[in-house]
Amino acid sequence: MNNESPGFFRQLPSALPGLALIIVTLVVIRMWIEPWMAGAVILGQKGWLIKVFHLNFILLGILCGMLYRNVIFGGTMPEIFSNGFKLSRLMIKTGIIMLGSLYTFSAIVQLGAMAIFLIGGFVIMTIVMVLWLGKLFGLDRSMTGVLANALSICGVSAAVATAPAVEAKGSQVAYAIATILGFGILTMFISPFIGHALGLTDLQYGAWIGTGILNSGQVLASALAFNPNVTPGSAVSIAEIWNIMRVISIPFAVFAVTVWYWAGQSEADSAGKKKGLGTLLVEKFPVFVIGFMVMVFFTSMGAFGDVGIKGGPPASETIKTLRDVMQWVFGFGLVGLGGYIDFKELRQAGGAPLKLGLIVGATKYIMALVVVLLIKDYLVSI
Amino acid sequence: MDFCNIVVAVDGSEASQDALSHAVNLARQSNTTLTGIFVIDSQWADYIGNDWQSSKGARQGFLDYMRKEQEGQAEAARAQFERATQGMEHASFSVHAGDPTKVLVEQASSATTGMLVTGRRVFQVSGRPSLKALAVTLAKKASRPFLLFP
Amino acid sequence: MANEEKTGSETIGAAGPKSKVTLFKDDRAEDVGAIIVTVIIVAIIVLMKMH
Repeated sequence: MNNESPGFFRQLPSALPGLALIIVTLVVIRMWIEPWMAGAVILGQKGWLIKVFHLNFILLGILCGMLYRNVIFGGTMPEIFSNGFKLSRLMIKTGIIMLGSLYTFSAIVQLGAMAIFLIGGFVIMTIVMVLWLGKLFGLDRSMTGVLANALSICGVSAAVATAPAVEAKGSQVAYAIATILGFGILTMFISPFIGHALGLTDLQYGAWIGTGILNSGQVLASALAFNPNVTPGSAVSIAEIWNIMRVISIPFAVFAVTVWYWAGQSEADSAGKKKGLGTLLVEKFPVFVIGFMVMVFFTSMGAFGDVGIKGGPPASETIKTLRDVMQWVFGFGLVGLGGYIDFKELRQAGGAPLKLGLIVGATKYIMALVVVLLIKDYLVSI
Repeated sequence: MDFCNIVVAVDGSEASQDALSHAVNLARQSNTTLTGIFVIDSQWADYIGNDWQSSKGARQGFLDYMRKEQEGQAEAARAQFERATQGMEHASFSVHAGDPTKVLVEQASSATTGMLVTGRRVFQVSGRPSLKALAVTLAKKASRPFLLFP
Repeated sequence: MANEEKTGSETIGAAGPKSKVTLFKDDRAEDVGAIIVTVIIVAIIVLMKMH
């Protein structure tokens, strides 16, 4: 399809400056800024920045990415760095696959079942709410369809996956994305505070944000911001199971919304444009999830030694190193992610999509917390 | 009055109609060249770059879809321009790729531009939210005369 | 950015290269790339820890 564009390895050299910027940023943060924050005495308290703001290298990394783009580079990534930042998704996907080394199959089944239960319930609630509010606000069907999937499953990925299927206009998708991102960035920064203030456990926190935060990137970020440790049972190990369940459900949700959209159109219009579930599954299934499952398989088989589950033998050296590497890989990816947050786009969001997005997003965010607190005795730990 | 070259932003929608009509009148009266421009927004990849969890064809499928929509819009813009400039000798239409705001600012500051004529809501029809601030940015950065229509 | 400027009425042209979100061929290739990077990292760590 893209025969005209050069291959990955030919583009790799052009990615080096951006990659170097990302790596240097994170190294400086972890080697110098974090230790300084831990020792700095502000307002008479040692480590005030960490204790009060819960700042850690993940949040600092994202903030640096945002600072680069919006302040230092004046709103656009310069050409020289842009290819490097395009690698941030590769890093995050790599991190997710490596994350498979935190689980055994039985843990995945337990967590997955819980995730399906919570996500399923919230997806249905959100879609119904969006369709109803969309009608109330007089939004057209394309816009409503995009918002329904974007708000119910995983934000931007769902929005862009749905847009062509419901013939959405560029400006409509743009507003949906701006709304989601604005809300996502807000929740990404406030969730760790709320989590610490309420004294949530990693399990509760992970289940909450995995259900309540709209965008997958921000779920990852706010899980690591709450607890940067990558170990079995840490916030990120919980939240990412939710994330993976959500991404697996994208093809199904696109199918559902497509059916809904075309049900309102004439037969002649829909001919040849409506895609079947089979096609959508083949087209949209995320292959990195298979990599993740293979990793879980090897871990379950004991290929890397003991994983260090609570009460069991401590983690093997291999597993420990793997987790250290994961922290770095996620850190790199999230600096890159920060570099994609563009304030000038967010500032311009508005109108009915914003209203609808805020109402539905806030409802979901709060309801998810309430539900997680209600069922906290039934949440199983791994 | 001599404007040497009038540049008008055309997007094929209602939003550029007033600006286009005025630009055509001006060009006819002063007998100068008129250039219509449409900008295909190349910033979509960056705009949706904030997300990572995706699968084959989801993001790229969307970008291709947007590209097609914008090319359709460019066609509409060209048709609108041609209708308005029928019988004019020095009229040309060009399609650019880039950030629409940046391209228009460049045009509004280029030595070859006598005057830029544009509607306040031009390019919003297929654009990103930041295009809502297009007129403000132009007013701040343009170094050539420009005419703004509501 | 790439411009395509001609005169006359048939003036529409290809406008710049297609925009892409990844350096890979597509998202699926990026997924496969991530799997390969993981295999390399895991292999290095496992080999390192063997000695």
